[in-house]
Amino acid sequence: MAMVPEMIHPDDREHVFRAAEESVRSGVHSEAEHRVVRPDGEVCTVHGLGTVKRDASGRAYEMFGTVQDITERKRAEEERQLLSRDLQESKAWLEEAQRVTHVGCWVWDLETNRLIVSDEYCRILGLTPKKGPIDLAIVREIIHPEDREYVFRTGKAIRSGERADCEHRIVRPNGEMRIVHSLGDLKKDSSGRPYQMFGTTQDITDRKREEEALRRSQFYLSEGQRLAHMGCWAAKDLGIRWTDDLGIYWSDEVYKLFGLDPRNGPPNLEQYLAAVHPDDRASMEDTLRMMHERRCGCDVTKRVVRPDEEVRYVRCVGVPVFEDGVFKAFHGTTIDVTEQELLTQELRREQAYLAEAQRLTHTGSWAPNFVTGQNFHLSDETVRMHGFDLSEEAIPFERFFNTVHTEDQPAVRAALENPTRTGTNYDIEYRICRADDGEIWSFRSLGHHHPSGEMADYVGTTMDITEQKHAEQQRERLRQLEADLAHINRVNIMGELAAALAHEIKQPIAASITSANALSRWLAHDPPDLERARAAATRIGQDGNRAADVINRLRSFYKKGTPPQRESIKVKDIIREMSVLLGDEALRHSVTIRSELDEDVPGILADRVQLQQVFMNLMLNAIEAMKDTGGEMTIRSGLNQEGQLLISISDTGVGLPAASSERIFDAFHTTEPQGTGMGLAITRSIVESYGGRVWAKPNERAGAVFYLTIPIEAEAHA
Amino acid sequence: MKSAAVPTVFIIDDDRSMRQAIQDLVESVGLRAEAFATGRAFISRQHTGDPSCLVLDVRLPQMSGLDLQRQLAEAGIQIPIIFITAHGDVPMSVRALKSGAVEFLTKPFRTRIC
Repeated sequence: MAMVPEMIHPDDREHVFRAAEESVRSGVHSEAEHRVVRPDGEVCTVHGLGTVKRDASGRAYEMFGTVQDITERKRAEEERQLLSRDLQESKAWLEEAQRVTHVGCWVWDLETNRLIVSDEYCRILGLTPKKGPIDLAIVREIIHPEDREYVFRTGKAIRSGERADCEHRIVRPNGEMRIVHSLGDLKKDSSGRPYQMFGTTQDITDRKREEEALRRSQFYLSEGQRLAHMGCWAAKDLGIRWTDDLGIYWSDEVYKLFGLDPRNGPPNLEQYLAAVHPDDRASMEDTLRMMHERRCGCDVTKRVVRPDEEVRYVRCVGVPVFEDGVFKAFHGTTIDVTEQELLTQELRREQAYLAEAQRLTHTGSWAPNFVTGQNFHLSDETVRMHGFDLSEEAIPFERFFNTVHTEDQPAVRAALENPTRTGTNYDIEYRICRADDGEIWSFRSLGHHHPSGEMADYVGTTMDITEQKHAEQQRERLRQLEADLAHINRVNIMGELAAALAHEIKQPIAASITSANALSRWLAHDPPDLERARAAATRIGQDGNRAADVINRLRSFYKKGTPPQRESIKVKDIIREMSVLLGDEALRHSVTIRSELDEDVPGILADRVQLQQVFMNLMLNAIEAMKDTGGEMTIRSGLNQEGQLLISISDTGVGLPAASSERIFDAFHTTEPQGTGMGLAITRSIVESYGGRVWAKPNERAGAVFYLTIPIEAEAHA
Repeated sequence: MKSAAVPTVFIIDDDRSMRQAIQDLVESVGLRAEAFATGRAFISRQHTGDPSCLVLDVRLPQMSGLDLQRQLAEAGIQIPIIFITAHGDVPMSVRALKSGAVEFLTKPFRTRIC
């Protein structure tokens, strides 16, 4: 008996004994499963049942029981549990796999028309997973209405033995649309009758969207390449033997650029180089060789000649691709830059013309920012004009400003300040001291505020006006000389007319004195005749004014150095004034003055003294021509056919010198011993300064006619 | 020409101011005066009495004072002539006085007439 407890597996002994003790104590049957270790060491499992026997006093005196060897049963049980656990685990893994891959599975019982589905299938359809089959009608409803017919048609095809494989859309109960891929297969019984369909359904929405995005991206890329005339290429290597297959990939656009048919595949190296323009071939060959030898990139623009002989400019950019330091391939782009290249060439030509024009006209262009001192653009001529070396780079604005003549710098600075502050344009003239030889040049600078730039961004030109300034100074000296000569001419006229002018002044003075005598007489009457006295006094005043008028007219004639001052003048008034002044001189030489003046001739803007001088010269010239014979001077004024003011002064004198009627207007040309020969020359100079003309013709019967015109543009609007 | 009750001084000067001033001066001393701008105007005037005096400007348009003097002499008209001129031409005054002029005055008159 002692051996029995020993045979109980040590780990189970306590459990067995406790069960026995409990049975003894409570009187309930004991039941326990435990292992026993046989003497040969084999472990088996037994099921023991025990009953306690008691005497009349209730005292337990015996225990009776049975032991059943359940080793086999237990092993089978354990195997079954293990199998069940494995199954559960497999199911869980399958579920997890389905969940991760968005693949659900389903079994369609063709007899009951019910569908047994996996949880993931439910989730794909937007249904809540549940145990047991689901109604096929629910699934049918979820299929996108537009795809239902197609799906059912596929289902029918399966029945006829085909394998189901279809993509279709579903609309989840919450309205979300998904795309699924279903595969189905038919199961048949031993008689060949189909009884079940098994299949999977995978949610491929994300993949489809990615594919769509990729397709779109590829489309955009392809479209972009087409629109940009840009293709891409890749090559494992370029090879160095001309017959080598380049082994490259060309996008469609590259084929288009080269005018080649993609169906013929990419060209080998020899074919490729043959497509390059002969003038560019050698350099392209060198480029390819260098890329091959040094594994370096390239950026070259070359010409290719298409099979139809059209020449295109192509820019080829390539880079070597390395992986873990090992060269793998070249990748690159090829762009049709024909338009840009032609434009660039045109631009270069234009720039060359512009630079040449600037050089010829001594006009430079520039674009600075006056605040930062940065120069965005400086033409070569600007640099040259300031005396800088063309090889100098990025000459700052300040250095240009420093060339401005020190005397002009404050004015230039002030002239630039306001436009810079207000963003307005400016136009200034100043001198510079050239940076190289220190020569003084005169510049005119025009600056326009850059409309789309910063406040102090300007674009403009600088013109060399040194010659112009010299010419202006020369012209000013000539003008001054002319003015001096004109003054001398006037003074000479006054000298010649001294006697006649003295008469013009003396006449009103004499009248005044006479009237003053008469006035005294009338006052001396008894009673004084005041009315006659007043009349005499009035005449004295009038004569005084008359004398003053004559003197005033003459005084302007003597003035020197006064620049011409234009005012509205009626020419007929000037002619009348001159007729009065020259009246006594004409009378002295028995010359009568007749005038036919158009009263409607508009006024002109002119300098009074200059016009007086013109008429004084021409009228004196006429009197001079008739001084020995007397005669008639006729002055006419009106408008000619061109609408210009036309004045003629005719005389009946000696006439024009033969064969030299034009020379009479030359300076110092005179037929008079005392003449200076300046009168008619100055007359012409004055008339021409108004854009007019003066000329002379023989008079019909005798003498000469002098004509002068003055454009009516000089009309006064007063 | 016939004699008038009041002596008449005839004045010929082409300058209107001078003409009026001389006429006024003559009238201020109680004489009659008649003024003309030209010699021809004087000749064409129908004179009713003998002229007492002729104040004649030397330089006149169309016909000078000396020409008028000559024409009057040729016509036998005796009239004292006082020449007036603003030019003060000595040879001319000598010529005028030789031809019978009573006086040769230079404008402006430096002496009182009356």
